[in-house]
Amino acid sequence: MKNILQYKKDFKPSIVVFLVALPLCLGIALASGAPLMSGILSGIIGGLVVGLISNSSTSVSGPAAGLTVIVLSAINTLGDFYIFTVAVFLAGLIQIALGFAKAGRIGGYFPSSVIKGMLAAIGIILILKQIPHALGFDSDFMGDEAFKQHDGGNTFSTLFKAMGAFELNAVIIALLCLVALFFWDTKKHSKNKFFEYIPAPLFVVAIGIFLNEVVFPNLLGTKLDGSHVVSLPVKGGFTSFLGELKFPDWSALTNVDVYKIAITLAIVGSLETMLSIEAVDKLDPQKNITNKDREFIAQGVGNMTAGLIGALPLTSVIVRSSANISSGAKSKASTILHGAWILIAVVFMHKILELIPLAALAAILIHVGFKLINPSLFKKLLKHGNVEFVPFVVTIVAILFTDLLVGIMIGMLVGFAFIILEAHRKSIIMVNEGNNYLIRFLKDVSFLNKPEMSKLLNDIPRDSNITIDGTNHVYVDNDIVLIIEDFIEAAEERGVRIEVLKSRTAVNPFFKGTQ
Amino acid sequence: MKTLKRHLLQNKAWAEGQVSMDPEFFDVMAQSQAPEILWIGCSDSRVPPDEVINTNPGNLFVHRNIANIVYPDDKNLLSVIEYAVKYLKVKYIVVCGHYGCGGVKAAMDGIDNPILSSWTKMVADLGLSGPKKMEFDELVENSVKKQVENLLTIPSITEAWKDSVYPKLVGWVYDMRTGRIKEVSEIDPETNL
Repeated sequence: MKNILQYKKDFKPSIVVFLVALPLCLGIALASGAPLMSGILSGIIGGLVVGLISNSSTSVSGPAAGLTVIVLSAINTLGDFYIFTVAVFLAGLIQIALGFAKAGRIGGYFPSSVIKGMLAAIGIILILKQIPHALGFDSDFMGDEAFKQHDGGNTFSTLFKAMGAFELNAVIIALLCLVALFFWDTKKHSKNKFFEYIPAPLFVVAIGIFLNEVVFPNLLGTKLDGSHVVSLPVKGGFTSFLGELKFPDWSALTNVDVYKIAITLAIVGSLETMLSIEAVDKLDPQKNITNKDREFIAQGVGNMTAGLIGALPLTSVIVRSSANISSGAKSKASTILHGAWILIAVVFMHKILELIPLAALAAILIHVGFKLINPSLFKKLLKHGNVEFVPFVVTIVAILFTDLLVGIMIGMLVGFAFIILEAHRKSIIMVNEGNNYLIRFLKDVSFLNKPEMSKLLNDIPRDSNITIDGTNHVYVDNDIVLIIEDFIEAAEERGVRIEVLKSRTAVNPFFKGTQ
Repeated sequence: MKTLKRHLLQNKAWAEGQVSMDPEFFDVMAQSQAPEILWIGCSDSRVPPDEVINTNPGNLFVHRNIANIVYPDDKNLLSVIEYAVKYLKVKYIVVCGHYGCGGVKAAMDGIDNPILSSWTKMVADLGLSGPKKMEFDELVENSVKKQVENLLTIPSITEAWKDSVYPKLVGWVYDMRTGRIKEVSEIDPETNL
């Protein structure tokens, strides 16, 4: 009973995710050079299969923008999509094995500043890349996340081209839709039944269709069609749908390339899933923590299913998940339902879907993008200091100008560098009383403190007594000990006397001993 | 968590941490002690001797009482000094007072509690001994000097001095406002009194 209630509560977010997912499933399939149906199938599996197995309450899975480049070149290498799906099936098997090997722990190693940077970057990218679609300039596929685009341009070149080649009809639809979406946000706590039960994106899609089918033809004598509206790969009906499910070409199991691609897909797909899950857990107002090993198994089963029926490989995806969370999803009922809606829509509502102008969908995605960029987050991280703020900003910029994984890697490197530098600041303290000097380590010291250590020792004047206290429980790297040893060797020459305080609990053997 | 339960957990973490740094730490600790210093300090919670001079287990032999007072007939203190000097052969006896000492303050202003006022009587008398009333900080310093001098009347120390320059007697005052220690007196067998 509780379950049924949950499905009723999560009905609204499931509709939102469905409307966000639809253009992304199609766009990613297009960009991957795969049959359009494979994107739709992947979306259905992401909801119905992964949704059922995963224990994340708000993550949504489906075809991933981050995999398009890999998929495109893999299909080229293998020569056929249904050879490629063998690799997808195997990638799923590998993910299940990883899940049982408890690989989920790698998810914990992403610094939170980098994850937050990734979310903001995706928000910015979503807005920048959807503006051309909102303007009716549909050269790139919907849902691209990389700087260098599938259409040959990049994020900014397409943006500028679109400014000069917009379609008035699209602009009107997009603007009205955006106004409606932001207006809806102001009614969040309204008791008005209309705002409470109708998901804003559904209303927005209806506006789009109404404008394009009724208002524009009568008023302007034109309408958006062709590449400016949703175009589905099937002709509707259940038999036609079943005809699209195709088994992989098992004879390709002897092809070494299939295994190489399977491994690549498993690794990259798993990384993207872990990033998405980390982000989703951060965004979730209920603060649920996803079991990441279980997620590996859910993704694995999802990808095996995808391989079996001819669908694109899938991962947990951030844009759809964040739309899910911001429209109030409380349980996985929402992601499961979204899969069901894709299935039902493609089989039974084929005609209506093909009326949806892309500009209306672009408006929905731009709205999702704004939700991801959270200005208060910038202020909060700035207060935490450079150790968090710099990696956050670097991650945003790096993702904006490369792609998700490369950007994350750059962000993490910068993050590590800052943490290491911060950890080594103010590590050595030296005090003196006349010609008596004491040097003590407050924190761990390593090769990064070599210049500081040398300078401290060299600045001590002749005829001094120096005590180096190694009794504190900190890590003293051998590089530092070498400097001390050299200094002790030259002590007589320099006219200084040195004593070293040792303790049984010191970390470096040099300082181990009785005081 | 209840305070004491938490401290017991802290103790467990400390013990495990020590062992992880040195598996034989407690075996060595359990065998014997050879501290160089006897610390006579105040009971005040803000003057932790091991912290302020960075000493480790095995370094300090400690006696603490309110206002770090040396009464030559205090059996508790006498036995501590006897053991420290005769058996541990400590090299230094440090009397460490501190500014802002509640015991000294009570002696200076008077306190309506017979037990406490009888204990701090020595400091109260000292405060009235001069030509004019001493300031708080001044009384703290003078009290420490006085306690160091009182050590000279304790037999185990004078006996030890017959054939050794140790223990040296030192008076310190810890400043809670800065964390720094000021030296106020130093006496050894060669000192001309």
